[in-house]
Amino acid sequence: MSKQSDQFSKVLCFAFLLFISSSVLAQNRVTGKVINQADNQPIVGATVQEKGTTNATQTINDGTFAINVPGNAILVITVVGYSAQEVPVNGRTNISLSLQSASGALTEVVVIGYGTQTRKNITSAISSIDNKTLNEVPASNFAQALQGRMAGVSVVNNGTPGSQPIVRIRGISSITFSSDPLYIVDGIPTGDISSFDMRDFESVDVLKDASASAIYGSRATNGVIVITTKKGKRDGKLHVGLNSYYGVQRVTERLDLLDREGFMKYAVAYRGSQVPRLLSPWVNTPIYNGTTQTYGQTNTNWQDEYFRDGPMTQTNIDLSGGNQVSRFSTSVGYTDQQGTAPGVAFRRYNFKLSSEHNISKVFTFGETVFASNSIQKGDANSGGTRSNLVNVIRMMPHMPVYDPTTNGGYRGVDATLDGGDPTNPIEDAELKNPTKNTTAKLLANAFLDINFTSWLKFKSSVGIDYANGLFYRFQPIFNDSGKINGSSATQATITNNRNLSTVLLFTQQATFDKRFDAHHVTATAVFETQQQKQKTENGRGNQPTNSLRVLNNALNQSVSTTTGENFLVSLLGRVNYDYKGKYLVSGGIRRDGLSVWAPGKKWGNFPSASIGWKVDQEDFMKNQNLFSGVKLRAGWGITGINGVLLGNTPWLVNVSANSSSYPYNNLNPGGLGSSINKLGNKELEWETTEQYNVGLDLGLFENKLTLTADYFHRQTDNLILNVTTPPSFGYIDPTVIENVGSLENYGLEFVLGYNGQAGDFRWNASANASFIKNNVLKLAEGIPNIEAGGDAADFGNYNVTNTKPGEPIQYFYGFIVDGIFQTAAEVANSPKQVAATAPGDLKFRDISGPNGKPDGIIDDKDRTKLGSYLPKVSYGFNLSGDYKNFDLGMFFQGVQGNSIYNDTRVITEGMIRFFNAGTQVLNAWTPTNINTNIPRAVLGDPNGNARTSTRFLENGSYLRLKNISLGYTIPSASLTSWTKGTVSGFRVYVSGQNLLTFTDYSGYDPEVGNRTGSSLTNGIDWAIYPQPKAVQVGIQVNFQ
Amino acid sequence: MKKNIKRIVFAASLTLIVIIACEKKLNVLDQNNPTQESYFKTAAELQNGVNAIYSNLRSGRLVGREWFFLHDMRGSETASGGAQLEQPRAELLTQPTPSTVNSVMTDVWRGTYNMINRANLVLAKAPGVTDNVPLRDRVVGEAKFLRAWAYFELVSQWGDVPMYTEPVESPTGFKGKEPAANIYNLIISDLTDATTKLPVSYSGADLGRASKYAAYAMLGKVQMQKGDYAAAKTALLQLYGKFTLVPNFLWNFDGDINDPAVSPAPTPHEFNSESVFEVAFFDKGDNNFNWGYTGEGSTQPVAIMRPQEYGIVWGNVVPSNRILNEFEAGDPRYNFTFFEEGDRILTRQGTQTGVVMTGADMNVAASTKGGITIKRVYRKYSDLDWLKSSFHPGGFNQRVIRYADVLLMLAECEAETGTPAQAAAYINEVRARPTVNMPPVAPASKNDALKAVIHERAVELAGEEVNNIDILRWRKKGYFTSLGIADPKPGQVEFLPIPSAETSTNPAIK
Repeated sequence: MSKQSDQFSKVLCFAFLLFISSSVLAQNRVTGKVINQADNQPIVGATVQEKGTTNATQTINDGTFAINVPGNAILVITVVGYSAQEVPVNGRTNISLSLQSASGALTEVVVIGYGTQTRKNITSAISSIDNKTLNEVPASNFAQALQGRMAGVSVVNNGTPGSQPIVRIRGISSITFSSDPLYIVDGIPTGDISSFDMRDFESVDVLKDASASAIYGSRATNGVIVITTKKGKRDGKLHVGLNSYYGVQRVTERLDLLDREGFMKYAVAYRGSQVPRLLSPWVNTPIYNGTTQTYGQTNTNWQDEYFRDGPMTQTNIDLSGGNQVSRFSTSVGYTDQQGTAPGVAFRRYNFKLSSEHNISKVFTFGETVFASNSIQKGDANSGGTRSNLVNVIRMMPHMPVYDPTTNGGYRGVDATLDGGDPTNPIEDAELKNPTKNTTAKLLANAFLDINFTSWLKFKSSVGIDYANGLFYRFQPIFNDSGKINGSSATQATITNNRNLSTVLLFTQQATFDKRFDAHHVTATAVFETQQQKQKTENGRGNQPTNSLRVLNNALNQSVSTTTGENFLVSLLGRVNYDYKGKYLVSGGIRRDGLSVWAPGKKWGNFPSASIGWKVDQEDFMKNQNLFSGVKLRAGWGITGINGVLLGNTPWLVNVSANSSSYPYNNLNPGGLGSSINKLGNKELEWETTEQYNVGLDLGLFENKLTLTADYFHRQTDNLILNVTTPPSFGYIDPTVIENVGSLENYGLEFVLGYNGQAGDFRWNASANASFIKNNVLKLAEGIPNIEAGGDAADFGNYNVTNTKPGEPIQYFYGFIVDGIFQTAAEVANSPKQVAATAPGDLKFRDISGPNGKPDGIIDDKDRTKLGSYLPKVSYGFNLSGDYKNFDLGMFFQGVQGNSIYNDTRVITEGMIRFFNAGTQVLNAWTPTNINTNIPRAVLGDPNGNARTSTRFLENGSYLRLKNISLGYTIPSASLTSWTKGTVSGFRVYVSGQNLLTFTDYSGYDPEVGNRTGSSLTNGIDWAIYPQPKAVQVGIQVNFQ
Repeated sequence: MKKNIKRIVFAASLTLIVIIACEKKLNVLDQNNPTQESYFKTAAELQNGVNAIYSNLRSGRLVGREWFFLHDMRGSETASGGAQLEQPRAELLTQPTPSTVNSVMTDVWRGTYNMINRANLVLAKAPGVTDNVPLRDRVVGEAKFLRAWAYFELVSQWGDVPMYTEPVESPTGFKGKEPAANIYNLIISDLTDATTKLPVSYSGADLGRASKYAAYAMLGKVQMQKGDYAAAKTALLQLYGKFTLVPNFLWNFDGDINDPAVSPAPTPHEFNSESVFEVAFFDKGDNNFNWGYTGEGSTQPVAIMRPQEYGIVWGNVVPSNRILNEFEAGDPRYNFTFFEEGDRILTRQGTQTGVVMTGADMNVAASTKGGITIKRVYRKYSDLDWLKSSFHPGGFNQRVIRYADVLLMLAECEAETGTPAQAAAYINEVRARPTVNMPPVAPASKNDALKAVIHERAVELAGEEVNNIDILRWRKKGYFTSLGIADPKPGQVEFLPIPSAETSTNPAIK
């Protein structure tokens, strides 16, 4: 016998022993039926579980179940929408029971991190969303489906297909670093959520306050989003589901831009002369050889050329099933979303497999594997200063998009003839700037549960999160016969950047859960380590031909690789206690050690505590019918910010060796240079946020009406700030990471829900609103304020935002416009602006001077607070109903009381330099056109009329019909007979997104993303990708 | 139960061991770069430190782009090429004072302090380097020369500025404004020390480094600006006779073109006998510029934007009417300095017939000389004699100090401290260059000698970024009153405002 088979027999022996050991305990087979108390109808899919174990089953079609349990066991019956019930077996073999419907969300099970709890016993602020709601919005990224669904959770769409929306839970907590929440998928923290298909998610729980999230300690300040994926049912059947839709997205908004006639008028007004291209002989010259169309006949609508319909489709097939021993769930998914602009698209392939096996009464083993491959096609220029939309505005209408006679097929401008140097945005997107980001991701975990006794469990799990990203860009040889920077390339350039990341997670967890009469204690202790290793490999080179698109034998090859790692070790404990299900107390602490911090600063403690009082359980509440649930909650906790965001060694001073060069003797690279480019900080340590939360959960009229209200206050101290040091320090990177400053967010959140029924018409309405305020309390010593968002070359002088103590973060900061100077005398009699100020220029208000008083001079001391991008209230409301086999859902979302700084208008009407522009410029001030708010058209804007001021500040409030859907479900009786029982459910639906938007905002989209990714440039509209309208048709089919 | 306790104790000890083992894994260091402690130990590493300062010098913030704009826009030899001239540049050109957010000015401020910080690092590390003392000392001399150059830019344009002599190591190491006199003292002491440490010349792979004579020339220039003409003369005389004017005036600005369209490549005249200090650039032939601006990135382009900015396509800058009309009739330097519509380009240093450049080729505003209004651009550092390209950052080395400049500085010193005849002798050396060959001048008085210097500096050095400094010096001396010459930039402020990027981050400056 070989050695292998020898081992095999050992394993067999072991398995046999396990089997024996588990079966020696006396087991009874218990059968029964679960019905709805209200109508005596069987309840399908209810979980029947032996209390304190994982031994469970589910009721099948007729509501019956069968389970093997000891005679003294307690059965726990749970199902969504009903109150859970516990039944002692007491030796019986047949148990039937009826469950009370608990419309409303108070009975669901909530994932609280390293454990679960029923919602009615939750003492902290947690919002949840289930699979059904997620699937209502056909979105490729699950964060989009969260938009407006939860109080205190703000989602702003940002950028092109496949880009991560900006998700903020209870406001901004960090100035320098992204305030993204922590995502946990089946227990594994992961950063990139766009790789997942949300159709695989069973539920999403958002831990908003610190008493809930502090269990994730150092990474929890921005909230934690816990995702639980689907598991198979234990009903002994195979379930097959198909979910598929197809739709189209379209951008319908258009700015009013000049056509050729308007452009010609503007050219004369601004430059004093017509552009040569629209004068003889050019005006009568064909736009290229071989056509008769002349420049004078060309009138390109660059917006129509640029925006296009973007089809989107998504299909997910899942297969699941299980019995008492094993259960599994597997799925495949495909997503394809084409952009509404050229060159951008997102495609993803998903695969998932999870299974769970009860090896014995003691051991349960399970694992989940997600694999995905996503391809994001992007536009290297989409986030740049001169984005494609900037060029769409600036491009002259007399220029053609395409030119079949050029190398590449597009046409560029000649600055001499056309008057300016915009680049062809369609050529940029399709030819010059396409990029491809391919990410292969594998996220997997495996666990072993050991049930020592009914009250003590141990769980050991291992997880891996592996991502392999490849950024590829090919910039071809081309010549668009234009004459500006970027009109041609004589060599092709290939960029090939690989990014590898492996995260290994080991978790050892012990859970104690026991009742002592009226006392119920649950305790959890965890030891966890997490290690991340990263590698980057960046390659670049040139090819003399467009047919070679790889770096093989490329010219000017450059390769660079880096490596990095970080390590997190954690110990945590939590105790939940309840007395008679009335008084609830919870307390926990996590101690994290993270390699990222300076020596001696690596450990931090993150405690939390909360209490709850279920008033409805008190005797004095027994004899009333109004309140079906009343709970008061209060929580406190301390959390941190994920230090890995700062890099692996942010405190360390490094020498950048051989990172620069000088061409001595006119040779390249000549001599290599080494220097120190950044200050370090050995004092760097954890940033901590302390948060209080008080809340109230109310259920009225048998939970037909539910209300949840929360007040929170969170204060971040030791705020980690990328402090800008003076340029005179001389460091190339003029920032240093310091723990300075402090910041608070506080606010109120409300959720209101109502369920109604009238005959066959059932409906529910829910609404949520949050009122969040932000206040900066303190900044670095010597730093009175931080300005950001300036871009003088294209968007006018001066920064756009300012951050200083006593004000909300990054408020809009600039001059106040007091009209237009009408006469030279008025200029002379007003505070001095610049030497060139003349009638027709904007009159800015003199607010302050060196002594804090108006000084008769308009300079940077006259800037003031103009507004804030933070809404006074964010809200969402959902109306859904069904009548017989039809269902209708409408979901509105909006913000109120915020400002947007519309920098796009600097491009359309700022007149800083000469390009095509918006039609407003034709209404510019002239001595004969004085009743206007558009200043004079003058070369170079000498007065700085386009500087940051109230001129471009707009109200950003909007209300949007985010989603509307209408579905029809084929009655199951007919379906079963038609399909001979193979199809158990069939729903077809149409849905639309963003179909209606109510706003006064004049730009493309009031939902303004953030080009720079900095926390100080939100709410500035720099002409980036707008949200399209979309319509889909979809089907949901279940096979059995 | 006992068994359980044993198990628990066992599990607890195991956990403790694991935690202690994990503690060690928390000590992660950067694996991609050397540290402050491990580097700058050898003279070769110290030389890399000084190379990094040169890299700042040629960056977009300084000589690669914004430095020549700052000087040319503030000087009197340029005018706007048209609407394409960007706002911050136009502001410097046309306003008496720029706003504190002016990006051109801010970039030069950043660039010079980048040089200073890197120089301070080299000087701080030098005492610990002992493996090659001669090389170490030369590197120290170079670092001091470059620090002095940077501080002179600052003190001459801004007056009182923060002075750092050691690398900043703390986030709160702010310095307030230092009186200009102290900054001049530091510059003079650095340059004096550099003259003792630097060699008289370089060869091969070291061509382009600062020499002893570069330090003397810089010292002379600084002393003049400070008003000490006697000390200036002493320093400048160190160079007299050690350099020669190149026979062809054009050789100071031509030839270094690397473009597939220009084959065979022309012969450049970099590092020639007239060049005292020049900033080296390299044309990789890929039409790229280091838009990152800082000089960081060892594989980044090392080109200069000057030929593109002042060329006929971007056409941001054209010669001013004042400089056009300054030229005497028949001065061959006029045609060496400017291209006019109707001129022949693409002649490859006169070896081919070339083509006639028309007004339609030129995206620039017209200028007027002697009543004739046509389009003109600067020819110095232009690539139009070889290439008519829509975008081509150049490889021309930028002369910072050339011997003709030194001779004319000597002439000014002589006019101030010696005799008009001695001043004339230096001026006439410049005028006698074979390709220039202009008749000698013979000023009779001090004022005539000064006028002759002012004229000669204009026509010899037009568009070479010296006029701005000259105007500041001459205005301070009152020449624009005493000599009857009009102030070319009347009302212009002497010193630029400290950039708001500095005042908003440095609490020591209010």
